[in-house]
Amino acid sequence: MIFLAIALRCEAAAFLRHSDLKADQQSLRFPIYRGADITVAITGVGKVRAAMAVVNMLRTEPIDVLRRSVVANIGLCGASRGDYGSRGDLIVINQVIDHGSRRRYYPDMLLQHDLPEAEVETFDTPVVTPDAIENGVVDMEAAGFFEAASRFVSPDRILIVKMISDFLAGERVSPDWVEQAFAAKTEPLAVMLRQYHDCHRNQASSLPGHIEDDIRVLAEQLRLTATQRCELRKLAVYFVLNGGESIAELGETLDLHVTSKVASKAEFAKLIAAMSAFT
Amino acid sequence: MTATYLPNFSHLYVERAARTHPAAQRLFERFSRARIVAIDDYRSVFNRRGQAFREQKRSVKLILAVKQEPFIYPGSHYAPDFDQPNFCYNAMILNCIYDCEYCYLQGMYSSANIVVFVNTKPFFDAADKIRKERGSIYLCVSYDTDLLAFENIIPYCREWIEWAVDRPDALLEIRTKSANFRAIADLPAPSNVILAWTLSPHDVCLAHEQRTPRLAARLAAANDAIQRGWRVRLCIDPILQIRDWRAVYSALVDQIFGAVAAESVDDFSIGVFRMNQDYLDRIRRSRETSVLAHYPFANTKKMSTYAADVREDMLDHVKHRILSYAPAARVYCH
Repeated sequence: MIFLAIALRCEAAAFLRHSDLKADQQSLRFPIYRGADITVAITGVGKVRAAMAVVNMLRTEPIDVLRRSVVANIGLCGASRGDYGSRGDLIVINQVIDHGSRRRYYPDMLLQHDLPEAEVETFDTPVVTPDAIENGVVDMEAAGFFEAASRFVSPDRILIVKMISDFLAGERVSPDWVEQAFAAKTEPLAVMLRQYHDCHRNQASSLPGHIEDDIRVLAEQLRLTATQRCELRKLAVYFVLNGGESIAELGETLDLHVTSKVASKAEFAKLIAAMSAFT
Repeated sequence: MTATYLPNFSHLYVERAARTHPAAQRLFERFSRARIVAIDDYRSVFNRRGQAFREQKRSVKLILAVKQEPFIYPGSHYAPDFDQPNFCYNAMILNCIYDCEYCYLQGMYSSANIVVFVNTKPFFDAADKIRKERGSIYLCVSYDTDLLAFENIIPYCREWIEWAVDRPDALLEIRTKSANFRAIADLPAPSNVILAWTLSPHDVCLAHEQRTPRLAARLAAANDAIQRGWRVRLCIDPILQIRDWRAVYSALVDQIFGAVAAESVDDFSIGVFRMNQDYLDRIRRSRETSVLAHYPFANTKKMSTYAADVREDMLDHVKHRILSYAPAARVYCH
């Protein structure tokens, strides 16, 4: 799944059309648009709103979905210098600085891309003085976005791409310009997001479903404690990696009608020994 | 269309205080096309929570930093002291360019990126201080990394060897899986520096020690060092309980002594897999498909290793094989 956090509707409009996303009618306070494998949250301006919207978007997603997902922030920025590009050009962010707290965040830069890179400093108010920062670009969301996103996914799955809208001189930027500028970049952005997503897609739990079922059933039959269940699950990974196919078959040699803790412990020990010896 | 991973060291994360150090300048030249990301404190990058070690290993970054105290640590009980007093180690580089499946570094560090400390002088001063206070030092300089593997990037082995030359009360161990002996081959061989090669069966190198030189290359490098008068230690550590381990490790010992004259080796070190339990738990989470990591080890005092009888059996087997070539006094078991 690709999760996008975008501050303004005009920044997102072209993407919503491109991916044929539909508004989630259940999420009224935090606008969310959903497609087959893309979800877009319109966060509003500012790092606090960005953080809230990201948490709202991700909090109910199952862990195994998050483990295969990319979470991205796309939006406008002001550039300190012209050598990062012109208005409408894209930049990949390699460091996020919260201007208020001076906290720094680092998305992992693992994949090839053709865009320039820069650090972004997140301010609470619009920056209209060119000497506000020495290097990089400024925005109003990235720090909040990263703080929230990193609670759900590892930093190799976090991507921040900014579009230069101004050079910190108080230039006016109209919604029409923003929409058209993003429309011109939607295709390359979509390709980039898809590439990031595909690189991470093949990571899944190592235990097949039927083994998980075996563990659950045996744990109930043997009345295993939480610690014992955890031990059984750890050992099951070794068992499966060594070519084991069915824990239930090993369970057939056990007395599953335990009536005491002592009996349960004895049968559990037998099961552990049988699984450990399996090669 | 799938994206490709950036090459290793595509980015240098550089502490502001590290920029002007000669070692940093050298690395800037070495990686002149790398993107520089200025940072305040290496720990804000290296120690981030929730990093994906396995993913990062696919495109490792360099972090250049200035180390603060301590610059030297007492030897760990996981590591052998070879009956040497004042056993210490240091870490001028954190993490390794190799990717061994059983390596404790992937459990000890939350990041796969490599930290290079560029302020070298305090490391030497700290070693000198202990040497003077205690009368000697046994110092291992390549524990939390493989320093010789890094020698072409930053020549820290050379610096330590040159430091040791006029300090007879210091004994230095440089442990490695590298075949990069040629990087220091021009140096005279000091009598107080031991080059210690970790050797694994050929199939273990292939299956479980990604990016490392093959056994034959390590043996050739060790032999080259011996021929040039260096003191060499050979380590079979960790011994792993792989399929047919007896035959595999017997063959390894035979191969070693087919390539290297037993009497020319300083000593032999053998040990079975052992690791801090917390580190192993982390490795199991990141290596979900590793049979090595998910082996049902016994846990004693926070250390995960093979059950006592298995451990004894493995050590005895390898030790006895070595004893058919070398005297017991030169074989250390851990």
